[in-house]
Amino acid sequence: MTTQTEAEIFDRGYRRYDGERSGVGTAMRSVWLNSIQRALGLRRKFRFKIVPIVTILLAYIPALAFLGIAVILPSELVGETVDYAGYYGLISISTLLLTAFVGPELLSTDRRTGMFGLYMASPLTRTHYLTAKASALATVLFLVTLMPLLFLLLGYTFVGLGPEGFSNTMILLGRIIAGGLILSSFMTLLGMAAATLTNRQAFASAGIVMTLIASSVLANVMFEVAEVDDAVLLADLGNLPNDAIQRLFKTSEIIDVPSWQSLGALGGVLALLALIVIWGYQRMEVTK
Amino acid sequence: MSSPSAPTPAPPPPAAPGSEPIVVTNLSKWFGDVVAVSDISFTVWPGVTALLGPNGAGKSTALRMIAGLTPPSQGTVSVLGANPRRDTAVRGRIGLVSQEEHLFQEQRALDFVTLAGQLNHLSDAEGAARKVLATVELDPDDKRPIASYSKGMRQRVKLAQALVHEPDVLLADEPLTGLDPRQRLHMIKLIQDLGANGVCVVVSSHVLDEVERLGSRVLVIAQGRMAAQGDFHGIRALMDDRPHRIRVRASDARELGAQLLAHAGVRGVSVSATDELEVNTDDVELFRTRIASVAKAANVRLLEVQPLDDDLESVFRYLVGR
Repeated sequence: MTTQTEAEIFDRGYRRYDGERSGVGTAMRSVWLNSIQRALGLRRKFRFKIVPIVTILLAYIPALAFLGIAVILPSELVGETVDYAGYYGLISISTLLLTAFVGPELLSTDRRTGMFGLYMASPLTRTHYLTAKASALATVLFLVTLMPLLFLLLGYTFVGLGPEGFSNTMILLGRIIAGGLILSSFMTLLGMAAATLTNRQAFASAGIVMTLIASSVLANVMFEVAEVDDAVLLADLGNLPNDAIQRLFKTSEIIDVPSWQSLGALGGVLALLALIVIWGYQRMEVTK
Repeated sequence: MSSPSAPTPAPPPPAAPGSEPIVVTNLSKWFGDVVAVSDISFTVWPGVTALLGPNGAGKSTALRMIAGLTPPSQGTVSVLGANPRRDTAVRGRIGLVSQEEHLFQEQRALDFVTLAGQLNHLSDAEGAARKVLATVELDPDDKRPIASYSKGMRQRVKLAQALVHEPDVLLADEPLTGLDPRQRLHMIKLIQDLGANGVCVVVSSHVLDEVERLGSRVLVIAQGRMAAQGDFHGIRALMDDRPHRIRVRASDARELGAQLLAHAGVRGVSVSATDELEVNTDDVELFRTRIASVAKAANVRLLEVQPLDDDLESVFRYLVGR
């Protein structure tokens, strides 16, 4: 039985949130996580998963093949030096396709649908937004630029074909991580720069592919036809990060120039791409 | 709390100077040669204020500038004492319902609203999202993507994402578009509740019926310029150049018309039936105080007195047509 003293009327009116609030880091983490899910087609229809799955699988096929040979015919590989640096050439198509697909998906789509406006209406700054987006794109790219090599290293080590000793393993691990970082950073900034310049996803994707192809053709034609210095090959944008990675692994460099020139050119291109993104977003009007 | 059909609640008393939630001063925005907003100034207090204007009047641009999304070409915006473009903290106290329809359509409503909560630094964003989705009458556990929702449901998802962090200022761009009549009543009630609880709500609309039900305080924008602001009844009273039109039903319309012309400050009379006439007057107060005595003196029985242009639609038509 209910007595009078037990009666209570609840205030169901509007009350302001007085709970705990987290910082900007949590907001950026949400953008990062959300962007990764979107890039990989998670929680989306199957058709959005096809490109990420195919491109990522492509990057693991060589590693699976090498490890298969190592398991089935280990005697064939005894004494052979495993070419980790060469693996970056095998994943170049995967890296390019994934960048062309994911970069515009993460930036252009936000602007076209008005999501960018909603992000900017929150306490996020443009710098926070771009940092979170760059981290997301780089994370997705690590799936093809870093993870297959780590998988290869782990597999070879497991079958006894890994580097000799702990220190050599750590050195190789460091090179693989640094190589992944170099390639992912380059492709992340290239993808973001292309996506900054247009709201049309297809145009941005085509722009990424065409930039790499056109720069390669231009640099090689100038080198072959005009017979200019090897330094002109630094204009081949696709080869810049790979050349730096080859130097990192101390294998033969792709472009026959001193390291400072190659690394300087890579740094300059990275800075230019970052400037395009920052400049583009600083002057961007939110119209949706 | 007033119901949507009840008379509009009185606006809350003005806060102390300096505590106005939104102060807009000489605000202009142009895109190339196109002037979207031209030199508008206004102050918005807690409660519901309608930003009224025809399509293309500059309402959305004005709201985007207040939200800090678009930089003004000229002038200043202050929200809760800060510049929303520079002060990210103040943006966390603003909720924005945009007009965009394509926001993360593949996501579930719960995920989308949770993301909005996380962006606004809520620790328990999912809990807050569930609560606000229930408030707008959506099922937080609905597994369908937003793309499969009706327009009205999508509109409520947008409102939910704007309210999830329980903002002090809510800017809603055409929030009632696409809602069915029952949802519209619910939404109007929700917006009125927010206003009555001290939230500063600015609702843009070009649908006068909606605005009239939301509240009487309006900001009227036409062709990018501020046409009027304040209580729309008050705005009508200030429009001296427009005679008020009043329909009067009486037992002898012709006799009453003649007497009103002589004694009640009436500019013109039009008799439309034996028991009905329409009066044009510049001085509605004088007319109101005299009509009963004039009718009594003329031995005419008054049946009905009804203003014809004291509603928002008439005020709006006058202002926008000027």
